[in-house]
Amino acid sequence: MKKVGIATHAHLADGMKSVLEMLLGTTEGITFINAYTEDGCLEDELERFAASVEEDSQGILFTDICGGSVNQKAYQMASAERKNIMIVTGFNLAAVIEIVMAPDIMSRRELEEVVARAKEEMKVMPENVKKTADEEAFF
Amino acid sequence: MIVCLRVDERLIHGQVAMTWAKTLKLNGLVVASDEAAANEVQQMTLKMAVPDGIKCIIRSVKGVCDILDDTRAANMRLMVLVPTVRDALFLAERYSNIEMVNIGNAGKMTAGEGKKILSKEVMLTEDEIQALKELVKRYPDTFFQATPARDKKAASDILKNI
Repeated sequence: MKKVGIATHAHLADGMKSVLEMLLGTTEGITFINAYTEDGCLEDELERFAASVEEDSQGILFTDICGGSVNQKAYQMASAERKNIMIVTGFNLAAVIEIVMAPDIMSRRELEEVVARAKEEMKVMPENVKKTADEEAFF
Repeated sequence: MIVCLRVDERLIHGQVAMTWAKTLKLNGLVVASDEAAANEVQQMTLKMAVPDGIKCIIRSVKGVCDILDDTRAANMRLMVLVPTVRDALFLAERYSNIEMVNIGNAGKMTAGEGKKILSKEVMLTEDEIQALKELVKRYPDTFFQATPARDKKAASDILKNI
């Protein structure tokens, strides 16, 4: 059973928690780390996340932005641990949902595929509406 | 084939489209909504919410019958999405071979007098509750469920408790 965590500056992680609760019904088992807020100390929380990852399992930790200190600290933690913990930084909702819903342990390659798909979700909405003969396209 | 008739005032949206499409192995989403059929911008945003590889068509509630009656529709696994329980009843009265009737989201996006809360996602006016009762008469297994991962409740049970 893989362990998922979301670590962000301020309360973005809690924001994700609210969305995941709405879409998936529960966030049981997922760790949320809101760094630099009144809730505790980043290093302790990262260590607690690492400790919660079982020996023969994996941890997947989402962080908000690559250059940020949250990601840097998370990466240092993951490198020091001898467990299988991978970090996905600059997450978007699509990536988090797909990974949370994937039942099995994921390989690095699978994670990279999810991220490639999730990247496509970020786009500028087009201006014009195209009218096409949609009945032909449907059947 | 109509695998599922779903009441969802948000029609096609984000993860709901993906989870139901995967679970039911759909290859088409059919939106039956008078409002959407008349609004090109809404049609565009709805189509953007459709997962890759799945077809989508948008018609009015009456107009959708042309699509559902097409012989080619029999070979597709379709989910028909309607915004209200009344719209679902209209279609349920015309099609007796719907595999499942699902109440997803209703009554939380628009105003209305004297709504009753039936579940976390569903609030209905007296008129709509009447429509739900008739829908359950036609399709007794009608069930409330937001997404396939969430709680599932029989509509008949929910109606008993209001």
